[in-house]
Amino acid sequence: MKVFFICRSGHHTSVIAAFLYLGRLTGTKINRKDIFSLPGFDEIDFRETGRPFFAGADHSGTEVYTIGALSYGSLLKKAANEMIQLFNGNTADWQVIDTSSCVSRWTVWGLRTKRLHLRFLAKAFFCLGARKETRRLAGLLKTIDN
Amino acid sequence: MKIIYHCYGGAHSSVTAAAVHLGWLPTDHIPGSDEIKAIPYFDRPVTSDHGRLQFMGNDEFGNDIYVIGRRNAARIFENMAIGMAQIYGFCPEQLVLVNVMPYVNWKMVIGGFTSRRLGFTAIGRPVVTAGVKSAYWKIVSIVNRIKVCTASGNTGELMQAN
Repeated sequence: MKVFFICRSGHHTSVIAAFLYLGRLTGTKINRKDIFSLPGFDEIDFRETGRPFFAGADHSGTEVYTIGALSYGSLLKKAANEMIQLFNGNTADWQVIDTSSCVSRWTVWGLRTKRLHLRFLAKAFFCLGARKETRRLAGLLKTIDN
Repeated sequence: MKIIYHCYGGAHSSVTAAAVHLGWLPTDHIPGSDEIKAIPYFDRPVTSDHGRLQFMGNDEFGNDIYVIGRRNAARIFENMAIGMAQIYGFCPEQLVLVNVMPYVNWKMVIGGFTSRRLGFTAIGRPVVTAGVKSAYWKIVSIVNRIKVCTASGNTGELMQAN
């Protein structure tokens, strides 16, 4: 089983979603240290947007990946499903989850400031964004599990 | 081998390129409007079809030819497709992604927008067909290059050129 989380950058909202899914993030209140210690968090290379990033695997062998899609979340979700079907055949052992609806505007501002190389400001925005998103993502994951 | 032609909407340039690749359109003269309009899926996909992979057929070498519309996310789509191929153990040399957007002219953009987005097919389709005719030799040249490279197994060079 493979699970793909899609967000704008593939290294912020989707990384939090991936670690919530894997159970390595518990609770909806997380601090700055927790956020920036997540493997892959904010390790973004804008030229590599779209390339799946391996976040980890759980005890049952489910592999979790994150994908950046900028503002093309729903389009890329559809395209990703099509590509997996092309490579994997008709087996249904994958899930593509678009977390774009959970992306906070702080994260969007973080990405904008990061593009302008204002790293300190970007980190502050990402931290605020992550705190807002964690609760929304926990809610989203609950609906998926059900 | 899987060859995927991709453009903004997957309705005009990529479909034309796939049709040239499959031998449905001539490579020695510019086809007539009726021939172009008769291509399957030409000027048919709508916005909700963006991101949907469309199988067009098999070429003479047995390669699978697909088209997809990916809006302005060319690099994101290519990165995702290559990444997925690697994850699922599909040989990257067996996947060829061809961006047809550089061969799209303003007639195709305006005609495509009028026909597909605005829904004025009667106005947009003749304009986009005229655009396809204008860009035809460029599309034929890229398809020929793809065919030569895939037949010789030189797909790595092709990916770098794209």
